[in-house]
Amino acid sequence: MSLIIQKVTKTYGPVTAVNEVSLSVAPGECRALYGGNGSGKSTIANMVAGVVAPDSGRIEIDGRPLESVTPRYARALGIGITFQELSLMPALSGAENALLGDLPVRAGLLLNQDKMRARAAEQLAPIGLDRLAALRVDLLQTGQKYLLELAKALYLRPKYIIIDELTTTLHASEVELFSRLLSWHLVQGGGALFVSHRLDELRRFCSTISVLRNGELVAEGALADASDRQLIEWAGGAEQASPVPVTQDREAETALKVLNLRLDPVSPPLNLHCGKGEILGLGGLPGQGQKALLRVLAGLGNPAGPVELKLNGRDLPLASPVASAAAGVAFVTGDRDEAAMGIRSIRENMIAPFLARPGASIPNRDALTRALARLSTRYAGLDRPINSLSGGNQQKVLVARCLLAQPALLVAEDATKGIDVAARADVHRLLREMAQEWGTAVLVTSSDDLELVELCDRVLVMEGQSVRAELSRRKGNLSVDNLVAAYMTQEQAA
Amino acid sequence: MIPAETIRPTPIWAHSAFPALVLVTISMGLALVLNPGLLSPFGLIGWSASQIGLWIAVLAQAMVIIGRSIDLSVGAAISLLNVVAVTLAGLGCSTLAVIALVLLAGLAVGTVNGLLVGYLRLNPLLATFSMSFVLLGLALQIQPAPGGSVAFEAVAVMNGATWGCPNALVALGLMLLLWRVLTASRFMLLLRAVGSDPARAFNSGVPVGRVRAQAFAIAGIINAVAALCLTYAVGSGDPLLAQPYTLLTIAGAIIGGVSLAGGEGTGPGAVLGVMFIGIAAELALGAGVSPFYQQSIVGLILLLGLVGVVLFGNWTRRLRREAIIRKLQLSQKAA
Amino acid sequence: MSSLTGTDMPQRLSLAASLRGLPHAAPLAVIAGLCLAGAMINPGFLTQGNIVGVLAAAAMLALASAGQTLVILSGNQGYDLSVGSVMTISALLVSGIAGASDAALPQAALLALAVGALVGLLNGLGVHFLKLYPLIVTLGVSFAVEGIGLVYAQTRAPSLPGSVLETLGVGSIMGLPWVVVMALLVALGLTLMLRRSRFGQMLYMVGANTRAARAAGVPVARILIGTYLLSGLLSAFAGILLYGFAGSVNLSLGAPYTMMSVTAVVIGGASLAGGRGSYIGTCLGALIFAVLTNLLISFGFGVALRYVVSGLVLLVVLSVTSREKF
Repeated sequence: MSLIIQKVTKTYGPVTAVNEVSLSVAPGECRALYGGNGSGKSTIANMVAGVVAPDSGRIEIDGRPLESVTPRYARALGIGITFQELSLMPALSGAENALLGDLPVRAGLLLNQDKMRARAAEQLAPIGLDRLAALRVDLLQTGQKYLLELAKALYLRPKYIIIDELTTTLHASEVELFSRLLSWHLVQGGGALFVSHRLDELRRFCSTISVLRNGELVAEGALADASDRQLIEWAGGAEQASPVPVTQDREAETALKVLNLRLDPVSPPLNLHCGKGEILGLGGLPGQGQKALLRVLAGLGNPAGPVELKLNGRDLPLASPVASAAAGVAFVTGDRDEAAMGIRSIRENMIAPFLARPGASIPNRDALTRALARLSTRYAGLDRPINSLSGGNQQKVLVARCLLAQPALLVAEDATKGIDVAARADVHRLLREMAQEWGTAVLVTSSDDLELVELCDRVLVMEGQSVRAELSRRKGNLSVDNLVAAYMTQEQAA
Repeated sequence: MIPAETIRPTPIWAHSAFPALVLVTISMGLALVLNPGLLSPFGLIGWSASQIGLWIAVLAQAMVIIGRSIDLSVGAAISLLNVVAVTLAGLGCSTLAVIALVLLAGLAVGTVNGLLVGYLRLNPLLATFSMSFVLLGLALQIQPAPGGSVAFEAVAVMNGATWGCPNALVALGLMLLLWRVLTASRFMLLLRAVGSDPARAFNSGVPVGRVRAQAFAIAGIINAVAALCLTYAVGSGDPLLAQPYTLLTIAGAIIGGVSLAGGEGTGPGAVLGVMFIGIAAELALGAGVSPFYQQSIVGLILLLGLVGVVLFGNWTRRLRREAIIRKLQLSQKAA
Repeated sequence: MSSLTGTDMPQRLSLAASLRGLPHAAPLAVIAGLCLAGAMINPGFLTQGNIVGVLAAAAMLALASAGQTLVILSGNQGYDLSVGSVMTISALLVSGIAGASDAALPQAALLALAVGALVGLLNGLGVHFLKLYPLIVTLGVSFAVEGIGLVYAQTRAPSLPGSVLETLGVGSIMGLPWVVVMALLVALGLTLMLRRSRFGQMLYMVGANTRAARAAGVPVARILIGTYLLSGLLSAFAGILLYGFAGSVNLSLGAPYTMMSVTAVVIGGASLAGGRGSYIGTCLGALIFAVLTNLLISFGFGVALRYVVSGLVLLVVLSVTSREKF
């Protein structure tokens, strides 16, 4: 009688997100699922919830296999989940959201309003939201929404609850409420799989732990047996034996200067600079402003107030991707839906940035072929649609596109997400060559800590839309351990 | 904790139907000044009978839009049901039989739309757009030109009054009552969930396709009621009779606070929205504008109304959001 | 490295593959099949008179579908439902201003084109800035345009087209109807624009993936608004010719073309999601539609059943090409 995950594997294209991971949760047990960014934690949570189908392996709930991959079926088997990206419907009230899984009805059709109110009060009182139950949830604050997500998951009295990064956004007082609900669930004989970055919380709630790295299970056991140092080391991993990049060792002149940038109205202003030929990484937990910063530079996002952006001494235009491109900024998106114009040809995808600029000459086929060759892109012809290529090769085309413009600033959002190791090495090499040959300032973000450490000369760790720590290769403190420790300890301090 | 009284779910000015209510009140006032005959017993009976089909049809459109779909076949469907009713009456069916068969036909049309959108997962815009031509063709095939008639007694009822209240308004009241019942149903809550965010609704275990299909089927029945009211108000058949309804119901629903983004809006609001469009037309007539200008004026008012309501909605949402955030922050500081 | 790396060479293809690679193979095959069926069913099908009639009808439809092609290519569920009403008002304007006079035709035509462009501009602004569905914006605008047409028609007595317009509408040159020549000229111009001009290339990109195009530095607003403007302009041009083609003008002259233009573009192989398709494809789609209509008429199908058939064809194409996740 337990939740058993047996050798599940999930691949996305060439990337293995989860590789033959097995773990189990017994009634009354709270197991921690721990790992760095992109280690496969959320994929496992989504597989158990019936949102993502495993490629192979087996998931069993108290002896009954999870046969049909729908959230409805997983729920029926006794799984409750809180989604990292939430599953609350913004236009519904808190009460309606919480009770959606099992609505009290009269005569089979009509809602029983009295019971709704009573049950909503019962569910929302423990999280202090009973008085706001009638409010649309998009009016609630982030922490309240996450608590509501938990109440919603617990409402169906699941046997096992999967808690995916719920506490990251909670205040200390809210964590207290959370703790009470979770203990109650465990005392009732329920099990829990607790996915989190925060070590102190893991220690507080969990008895056992499974540690993931790059989709593989690297350690497992009683939480009390492992020290924080050990856990961080397991999750971050020892530095891999990858080729150490050739990096700049000179203090280059400043290419990009960002002064007083506010990414949202309440965050402190952000200042940073990036030298010519420098590769600057933005790290930290996801959603701390890394991407928002890159988007402002690419002309795709608006800062929340006046800001001074200078690129090689000249003002950088705001809020116009066309003008930014003309000013020498090249952008590689990390959003798949925004990446390639799928049904159009490789050639068209590559010349797109040049078409809108009056007077700009459009690169000829030779130039395109040469750019693609530098990344050893595999393709069957420039006029083939770009979606005939694998994800990795599509990404190479989009990176090669930046090569054509000889940009003064290259902004890359998770440029190697979802591509295999070899392709990733090619992209890294090209970024370094651009930095060295043309003095291009390169600003990258990545959900993979190892990548930042391998690629960058300097990494800024961001939290709450501002810079909290700086690691640099020159100072010799740039390593995965330091990086993971930087954002995880911040978490503890917060 | 914040006292419950300080944050009401929706203050009146932030209600989705508020702009439509204001527009209807103002335009009604103006219309009465320009055309006092409108509120005379005969004026009111005539006007409400001419509008009743639209008032009911907008409820069907609102239902579909709340589920984040849209129905571009409303006009063609109601026109088809109109000629079906007239043809059945011509074949000698009793009025009751006509009503029953038209309701069934409406359900059938709605179900086809529902299957296309809910189960085949076609884009609702394009699927119902294509359906509108199938339905238009069928209507033209059944009755190529205006004509025919239905039972005189029923026409008299639709154009009559009960204790001074026009029967068309009674019909509207009954439909709004039915809407009230629907609002209290489990189905409507699931539909709002689907409309609000289909992916999250699916993750929460809501059968998204089935709920959408049901919404179209119910909308089909409501359209049949609209077609029957229209038919008995007009008394004859015309394969193009309700063509403008497609645009008018969508515009009316939006003006009435039903958001194209789904999950939000009310039936009564949508009715107020189309009422405003109808009154605007009366206003133009009352001001002595030639009837030929009416359509362009209505088109213009409709576009302005759309823009105004969309902008006003964004503005009030922002205000309300900021007010609540401020209150929540204050209470947190106090705590 | 594999031999595929970095090649930009045409690949050697098998015969079947090269047939599949032939542009517009499918519509051409459908046309051939329909003609064959027509010849067997209706002995009068392959007479010169019938062929010229079908070609002229197809050309008129192709002209009317030119703007629609651009709008559907621009993606984002773009459909222009104002095509018919713009054609009507343009015909009304030419009829009202120039009447039977040839001398006044240029001014009248220019005014009609300007009105068409203005309507298109309104559509474009509405679509881009109000973020409403193009279908709704263009339907709303067409409602207002029809109203204006109604007002305008009241002030003018209907008149027959002048001799120049009549020749363009129903006359022939060397056995080929003038409308067909016009359609060929428009086809040449639009194909050059779509393939060669920067605007055309960017239009395809916006249609294929608007967000990606924006991120790549394509000026999406300019392209979208320009597309709707062009659509209005081309529809107005088609309306002027339709006046000559039909020989008279009435308030519902252009109405059927709204829906027929969508059908022609979709049959012509343009992707409903945008970003793929060509005007040549639309012309072939219009030809298929014209041949099909001709056949259905010879079976005794009326307008009504032809609507039903078009609707069903659209539904089938939709269910094959564009399913959604939710």
